Amino acid sequence: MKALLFCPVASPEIAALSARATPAALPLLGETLAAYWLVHLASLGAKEVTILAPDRPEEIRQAVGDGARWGLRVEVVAVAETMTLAEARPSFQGVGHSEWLPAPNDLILMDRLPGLPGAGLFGSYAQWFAASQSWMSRALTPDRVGAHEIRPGIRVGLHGRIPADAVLNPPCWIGDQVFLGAGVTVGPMTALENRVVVEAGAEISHSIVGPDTFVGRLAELHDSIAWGDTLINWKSGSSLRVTAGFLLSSLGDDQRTPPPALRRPAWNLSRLWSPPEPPAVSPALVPPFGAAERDRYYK
Amino acid sequence: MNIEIDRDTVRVTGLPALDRPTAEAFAEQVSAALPPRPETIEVDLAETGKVDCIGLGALVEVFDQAQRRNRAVTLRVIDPTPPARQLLELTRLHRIFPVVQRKKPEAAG
Repeated sequence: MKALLFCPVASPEIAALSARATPAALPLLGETLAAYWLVHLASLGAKEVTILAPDRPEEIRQAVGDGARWGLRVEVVAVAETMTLAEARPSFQGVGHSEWLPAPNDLILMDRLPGLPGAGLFGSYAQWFAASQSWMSRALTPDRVGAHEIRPGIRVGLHGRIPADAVLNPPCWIGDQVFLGAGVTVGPMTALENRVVVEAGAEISHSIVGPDTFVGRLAELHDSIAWGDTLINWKSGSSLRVTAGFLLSSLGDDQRTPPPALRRPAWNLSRLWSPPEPPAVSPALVPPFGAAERDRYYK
Repeated sequence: MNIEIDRDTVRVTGLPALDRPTAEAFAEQVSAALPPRPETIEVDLAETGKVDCIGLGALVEVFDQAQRRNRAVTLRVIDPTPPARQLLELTRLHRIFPVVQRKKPEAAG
């Protein structure tokens, strides 16, 4: 069975986010929107999916590859920004519909998450935040390995570090390779995407921290979307670029104001943490510990 | 920048920016205007479109100068623009400098 996925174009309402990636490739709880839709289509029996990408198709290709991860054959096709759903159907589906998934799953505009028909994503930062909260309980799709719920409402990925004195208030999502400093408070209603570093004493609630982002010591984030050095208040829509790297900055290659000390991978930031201690939450969280050490701590 | 002094209260208004280029002048002028025993300093950030951590540092410097004359002095931030409020909250300075919202905040563009 076949299906078409139509990517939304960049939305001015979430300009600070869509400047970083085309909307369907924006990370949301560790995966892209396109990936969530491919999981959904695979569960419906699709075998071939064509993704129509009017905006930055190369980012979609990078995010989904050839689809083999989901048992699909995926092709990403660049289309004009002006193309509409009505135009896409005859152009790509032709006249015979027998080999396509039944409507409405034969052609889907990815402006929402699967199973959340009323929850738009790109109308405002508040929509994006609300959708991430609604999705938190569903984001552990069957194809994801390792991420798990350590306590009700607290979902944690792999290869991170959570100290014993960290306060985690559900619901919250902590992605892969996330490092928390001593005394950090995370949640409620908070998502830390992959490769986030939060220094000691910081407090984050009702917020999303984007991937590869450093949150400095004692910083406080509420009602915010922080990604690299960009700080957005999702309630008011206000955004600013934080020029003090010790407060908020990017750890990725695309950083615009790189603090030199933070160019190293997060796990090399020795000034942030003391030598490794026994993992506080789960042995699965601490890859630097070998199996022998893990067994010793969790006998 | 306008500085008004009403007995022990200092009011600073008309600040288009509180950032690296303007922070030093702000700190110098407001510190120089402090009365012998200041009770309250009100800094109106309603027109402050550009703000950064150097600018917030200038607020701390003024507060420090005022505290040397009166340990009980209060520095209030009046009607901060959304970016200014975000930065105050990120740095937790809103816990030291009470934020007073007198006007209805404008919707962000």
